[in-house]
Amino acid sequence: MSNDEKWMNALRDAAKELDAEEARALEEVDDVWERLALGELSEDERAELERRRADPADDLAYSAFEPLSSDTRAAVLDQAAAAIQPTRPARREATLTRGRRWAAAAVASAVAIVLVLVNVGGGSGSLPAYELEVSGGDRLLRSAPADSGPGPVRLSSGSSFELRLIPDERVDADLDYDTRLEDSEGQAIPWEPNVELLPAGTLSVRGTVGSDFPAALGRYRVKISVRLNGERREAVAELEVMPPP
Amino acid sequence: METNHEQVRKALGGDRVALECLTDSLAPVIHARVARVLVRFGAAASARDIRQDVEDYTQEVYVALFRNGGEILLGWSPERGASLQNYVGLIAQRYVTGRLRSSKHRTWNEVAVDELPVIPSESPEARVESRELLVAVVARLGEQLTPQALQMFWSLIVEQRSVSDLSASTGLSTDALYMWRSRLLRKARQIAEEISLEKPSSHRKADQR
Repeated sequence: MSNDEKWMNALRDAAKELDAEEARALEEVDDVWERLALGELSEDERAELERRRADPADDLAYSAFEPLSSDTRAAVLDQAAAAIQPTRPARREATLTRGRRWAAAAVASAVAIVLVLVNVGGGSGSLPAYELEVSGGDRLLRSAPADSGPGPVRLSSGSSFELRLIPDERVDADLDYDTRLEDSEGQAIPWEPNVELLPAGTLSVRGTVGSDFPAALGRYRVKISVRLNGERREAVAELEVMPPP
Repeated sequence: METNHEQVRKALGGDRVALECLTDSLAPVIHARVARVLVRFGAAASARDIRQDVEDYTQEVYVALFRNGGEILLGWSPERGASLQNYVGLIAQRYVTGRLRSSKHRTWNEVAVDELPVIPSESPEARVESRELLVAVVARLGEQLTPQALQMFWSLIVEQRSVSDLSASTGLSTDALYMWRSRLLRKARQIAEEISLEKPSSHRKADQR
């Protein structure tokens, strides 16, 4: 058995052990709550759960399991439809992910938001065009007014974010990549983000303000790039650390 | 009546009606699993907070199903026994559970990374130590991987599905799947190294012995 196979088997056993342990813990949640989310309760059963909301724990559970609204379902549907699109839009525009899509669906004009994609380089054809996608930021800003215009991604202490440089077409080659963090004056800041080069050529860069991203208030510039055979695709995102809301 | 498999294919092909049916069928399941995990393991301070988290994660997982040509959805094989709803529900459950884990609070004993993987002939104590570290590695993978990567981890590493089988269902090339496996293993090793470096003093003591 190769070392890789032994390593895989060891990971498999550990994953199954952890999964089983967590599945047992999840069974402690009364199934009636899941039936609420699935819309399977009778009127009487639902009324009984509503009465139980006087208890804070039951109120929390009711809020979590209450069925998705039709608006929410419509927003999910729109986002899924957008994810299926076979071709990406020609305009390299930042898109919104976790924590922001609901508002994006509800306030379509607010899509102009918060991230600047500065540079997608040209080249001889080793690399396809790339698109930058950002997720994270403070909840308050999810509802940013439609006329707020482009600007930095706003974060505060404890906020996490993820930047993804996504190719238009699958790239099945081992890419090199760079990340760089600068202050508002362009001075480099030592930074060790969590970088993951995903299969198909997507570069994922994650950070959390206060642990692996500076907590000092102010604007920062993050540059991320991928390289292959001398070609490069680079994107720049502006992030601003704000006081906690 | 259309099977789930046909519905998935049509939805991924851009059929809006099929996508609407799929959303009606899957979004509530994802929501229910996400809510269960957040109620059991989350630390929401208010009803409003937990609702926001539930909606965010539900959306994130649901949209992830359709990314990259629907890799995750296409990885579902009815022949393997699970319904589409259960398959998707498990993905949601594992992804959100992983995100909520705090592996930093898990305990594990120190073992040198180059001693991995576990060798059956090791002493019982060494096996326990390695096991704890491996569980910590898996926990941290769950914190860091995207829904797609986590599903690949389950398909290729945990369930050890054959590359040819997975290629046939997802449409991914076998080369791409071997690359997935190689990167996931590399990532796991990298995390194991990070964990072992978090307590350097113990290693120094071990070195001195």
